[in-house]
Amino acid sequence: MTEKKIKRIFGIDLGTTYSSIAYVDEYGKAVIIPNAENERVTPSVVFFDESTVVVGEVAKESAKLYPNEVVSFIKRSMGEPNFIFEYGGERYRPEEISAYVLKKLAQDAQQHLGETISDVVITCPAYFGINEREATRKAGEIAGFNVRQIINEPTAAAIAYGSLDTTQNRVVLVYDLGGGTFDVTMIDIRKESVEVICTGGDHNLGGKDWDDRIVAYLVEKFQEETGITEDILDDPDTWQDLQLSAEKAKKILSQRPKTPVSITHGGKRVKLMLEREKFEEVTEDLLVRTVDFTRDMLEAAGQKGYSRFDEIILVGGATRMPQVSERIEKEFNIAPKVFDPDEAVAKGAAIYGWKLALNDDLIRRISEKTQKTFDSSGNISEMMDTSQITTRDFQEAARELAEDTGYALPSVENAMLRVKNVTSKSFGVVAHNPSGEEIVFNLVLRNTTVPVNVVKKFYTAVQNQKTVLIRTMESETSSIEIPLEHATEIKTAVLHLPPNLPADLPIEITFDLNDEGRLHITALETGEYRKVQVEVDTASVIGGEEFEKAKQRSQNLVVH
Amino acid sequence: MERENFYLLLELPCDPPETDARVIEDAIAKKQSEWSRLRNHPTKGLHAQKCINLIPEIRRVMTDAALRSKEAEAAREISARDKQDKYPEIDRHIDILMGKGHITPEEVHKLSKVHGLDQGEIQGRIAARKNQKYNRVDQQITLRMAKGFLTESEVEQIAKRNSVKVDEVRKRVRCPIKKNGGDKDISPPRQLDRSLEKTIRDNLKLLNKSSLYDFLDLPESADLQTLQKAASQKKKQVARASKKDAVASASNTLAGHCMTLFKSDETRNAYDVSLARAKLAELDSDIDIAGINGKIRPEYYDILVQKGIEFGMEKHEAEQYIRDYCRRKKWSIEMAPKKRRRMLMIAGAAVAAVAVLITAGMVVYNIQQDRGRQAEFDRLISRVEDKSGPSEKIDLLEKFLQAHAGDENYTRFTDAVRKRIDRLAGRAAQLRYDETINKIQPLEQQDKYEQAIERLDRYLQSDPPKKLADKARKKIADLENQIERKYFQALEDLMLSGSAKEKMQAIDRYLEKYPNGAHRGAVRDMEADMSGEYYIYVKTALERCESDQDWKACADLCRDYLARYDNSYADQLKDRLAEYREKIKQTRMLAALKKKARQHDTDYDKAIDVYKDFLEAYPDSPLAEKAKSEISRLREMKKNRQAQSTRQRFRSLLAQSSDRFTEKTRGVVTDSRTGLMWQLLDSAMAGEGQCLSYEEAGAYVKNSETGGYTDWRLPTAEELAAIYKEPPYFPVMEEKWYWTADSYSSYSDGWRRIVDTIDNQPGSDWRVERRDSKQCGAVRAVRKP
Repeated sequence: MTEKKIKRIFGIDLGTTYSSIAYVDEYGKAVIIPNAENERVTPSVVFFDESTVVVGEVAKESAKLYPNEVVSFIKRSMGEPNFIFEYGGERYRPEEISAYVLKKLAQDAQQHLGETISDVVITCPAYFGINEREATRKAGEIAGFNVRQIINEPTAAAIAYGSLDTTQNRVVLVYDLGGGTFDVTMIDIRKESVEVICTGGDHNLGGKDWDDRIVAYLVEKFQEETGITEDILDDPDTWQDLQLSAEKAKKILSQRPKTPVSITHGGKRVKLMLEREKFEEVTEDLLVRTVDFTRDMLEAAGQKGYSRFDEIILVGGATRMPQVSERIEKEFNIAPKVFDPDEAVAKGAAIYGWKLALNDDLIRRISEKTQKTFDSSGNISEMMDTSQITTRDFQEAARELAEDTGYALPSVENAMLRVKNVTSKSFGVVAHNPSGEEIVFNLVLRNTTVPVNVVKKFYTAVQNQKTVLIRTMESETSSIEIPLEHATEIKTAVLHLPPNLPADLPIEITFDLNDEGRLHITALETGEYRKVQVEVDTASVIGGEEFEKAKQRSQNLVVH
Repeated sequence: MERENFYLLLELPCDPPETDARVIEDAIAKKQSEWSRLRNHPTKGLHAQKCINLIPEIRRVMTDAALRSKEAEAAREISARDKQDKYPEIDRHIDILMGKGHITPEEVHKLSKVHGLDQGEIQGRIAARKNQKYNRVDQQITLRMAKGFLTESEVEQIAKRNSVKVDEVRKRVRCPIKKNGGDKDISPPRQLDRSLEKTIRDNLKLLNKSSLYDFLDLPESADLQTLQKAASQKKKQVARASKKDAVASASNTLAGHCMTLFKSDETRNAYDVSLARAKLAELDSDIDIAGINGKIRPEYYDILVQKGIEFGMEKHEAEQYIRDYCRRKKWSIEMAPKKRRRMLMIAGAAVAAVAVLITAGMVVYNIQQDRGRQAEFDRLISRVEDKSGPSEKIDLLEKFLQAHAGDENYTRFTDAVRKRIDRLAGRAAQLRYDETINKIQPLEQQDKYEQAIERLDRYLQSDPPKKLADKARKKIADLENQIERKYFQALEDLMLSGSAKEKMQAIDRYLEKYPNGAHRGAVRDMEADMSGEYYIYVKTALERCESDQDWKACADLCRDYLARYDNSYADQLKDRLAEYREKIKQTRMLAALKKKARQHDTDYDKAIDVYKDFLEAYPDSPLAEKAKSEISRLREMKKNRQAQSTRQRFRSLLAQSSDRFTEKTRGVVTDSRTGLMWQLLDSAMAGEGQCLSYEEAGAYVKNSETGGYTDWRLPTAEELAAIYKEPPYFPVMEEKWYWTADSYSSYSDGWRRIVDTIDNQPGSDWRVERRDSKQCGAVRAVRKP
């Protein structure tokens, strides 16, 4: 018995400043689902209003009145172990706050579509490290989703871009300047695959920095006009007010050459005209940095043999600022395409989710047809490569699926799309150099294609050794050995060895970095080849009871 | 780069330092929340992020007593240093020594010693002072650059003022030089936006850098190409070799600014101008203070001008600068009024003091009327005669004397009055004596000699005439003899019936009372007769005092006998006295030791030291045993007291906490949640050594028999965390960390043995701390019932 409809997997762009959700409709087209306020993007702002949690535009507007009850830009703190938002005696970690944003998106989308949302693909900046990705996944789980995959924002954008025209192969530079992060990624888009070649960026550089510069400028002007010398940003109300005014001003200046702004503080009011020229002057260095990151990335790509690219596409809301395209064109002699800056990422994620769903359904159909059991999470193209599935079985299943669902056959066949990613950071373990100093020994260097696994042998020191401790580190460098202080500790793994091992027995430790950029560690003792239990612990990502508590809290909570 | 001091960062008092773990943890939690809120602040965000990342380190340092105390010390130092920057003084000293043209190595050494700085630093300052001529030139250039250009005459002036060549000055100027009056077409330079200036300044502050040049480690005279290259390198270096923390973000931002600003002469000039402006900021802040009321008072204005001159401005430049600044702020400057000729008001007008001295001649008429005086005397005498008692009569006569004391005209009469008084007084005294004698007669008859003597004593106190006093004294002596006789008779009676002690006491009392008594000889004989009897008494008494160890009483008995007799008994007692003396000496020493020990009250260690010192000094003393037993007694007391107070405190904590933990068996706490049994006291509290290595910890639990159980073991990290990290918490008396059963060997550390430890700070925000097994910690043993 074959079901007519396939399970929907939604794509979510969880942004620093705005988030959105998309799905692929019955015509195979990616569509953004508007929120309850009928907006296509929802501000990633959470307002704790006594017992209720409000997310979106209302929360953002509330920041002016209740600055201490509102959390914005939480994405910048993902994976930061010591960020705590306190409200009403409760402590919230970034994952949980992000979960509320996700919940709001899903709730409104459910309302709009009249169907339950369970499976999602969530995007994150390519530049996110292992912990930040893990934290993003945890946020999805706290919100109650089955998180099918975490994919990179530029990859998602490239998928959306690639889906427009599938005939042409090209190398694309995705310049993604979002609300809080900047990624620049070189992607090889082909008919059957989307392959990331190289990535770089800064997850503390985004539209917000442009806003902050306007805020700083306004403060200066206010002081100049009123003669007040105190830092008016010490007042949370003023800070929030200026932050919102700055964002508005930035948006207007992207359309018009000047905009009036008014600053009110302590009963004094200053009105001034902010000109685009001034705006560009006070933010020029930020733009220069994005260009510099782009050049660095190109250099790294060159080392991998990619010396040219065909197009530059600009995604992320901040690329709407005219100076971005102007500067890019001037620097790289190529007119960039501003591609659906606010929606491309969510749409790409939705397409990716849709392909996952098609993939699942095809496997189910083939399994039913051939009476064979397959790994339900397997990838159909890989199965064909390894001859687990014949081309004929696949084609038949694809045709049936297209008939049942009404999707066009070619798009169904596209479910075979392969996505190849690279890791944005180098990853290694703490070891000792010959002079006895602690160093980081990198096992996987940045911009290596994932999935990747590295096997490393370690030897037991004493007889009947109980455990081995491994400290895993992440860094931004491309060298094998680096000083400890240039890396960040991400996880500590403890291997619980089976009893009665002799001394000097090799333990094979496998570090798996999956295509999502998540790290798995497995180990095997080579005496009797027993699997060794590995316990991974990190304080940077919510876990254990705290995670369960957050999940519980989120379940009982209606987001407005 | 030096990290911020945690005491200062957490705004905790450092002198005396806050050490309460709860207060500190609260401060951290408060700051964590505050920094988290400021994490995305437009201008304070980076600093907040930097602080958030420091939290684990802050917690590590502030929960470790030793590190924390170091931190407090550092905080005090920083505060002190901030308060009093000593560099000006050093520079002054250098200037003095440089007066002769150079500074010798010995002088450098001396300077470094005097100021507590290393010689390298002193050398650095000397170099700076040597360069100061050019520094001054640069400073003066920079100040004038604030307007965007220098004039030719300014350049000449600077050259002249610092005795350097004009070309030298010109070389150092990094902006256009305008011909005096001409070159009107040189437009003011593009100025760096103030908000940008602030962004740069904030980021530099975060990195402890003074300027973008400093950030790139290049001199201000570096050329554009070098600066560009360094900026780009800096950015790559940050990207390559650093974590994405606040410092990296700030470096990235600054590198971005460098790349933008050091692109052209124009943009660089704009930055240089802004640097110059920053240097003037100090003056600005002074002006701000002076203009706090919206106007600048004349005396302030003068000070500000002076300040500007100190900055290297010319007087007119300083005045111009201040005027411009005030104009921008819309403040008025009150100019000093023209100095008014001060009129000297000499108010010392001659005051003609007319002193009229009226000499009043006094005419004294001395009319003697002797007749009147005689009449007055006669009246007195007749009134005296009228009075009955002598004392009343004397009263009247005395009043006359008082009224006419010193009046020569009355001498005749007063003399007569005095004679009459004397007569009257003699009569009164005899009267009083007779009265007294009459009163004691019946007392004598009743053998109440003492009362009679008492009365006579009282009479003598009334200061009677000598003759009468002597009579009274004689009467007293008679009476005393009567008493002595009576006493002797009683003594004689006692000699027949009393105990040796009573007899001897009575003899002593007699001899004491009547050293010259009539029966003295007889009493002495009585005493001599008692030598045997008294010896027997003394011997029995000695037995008693010996058993009481009252050596002083024993010695006194011996001494007493020896004082009375010199016989064979006395010889025996002499030997015993020597023994008692020795015993007394020792007792005194012990008492002194005890007193000394007692002064330490409950500081048993010091008390024990008192005895230890004694034993060391007198190892063979007969008191050695006593001292030793005293030591062990004190040790026992110490242990008891410690354990008791610990147990008490702990039990009261236990009682305050919820009913999760209860002490069912003595010394054993049961966790109602897990059923696990915990030792009430941990290894440190139980007093079994302050801290234990991991190996010792193993032995400790193995040998533990608290509550009669012998299966105590080390808890797992999970078990320990369950009582300290999940409310209701196990009571905590002082912060420490505990060994757990979870141990590892880590490959990265050359298979060093690492053990999971858990601290006892309550709270859900916890992690396992891994420590080397050689470290020294505490054990809280557990068992499963």
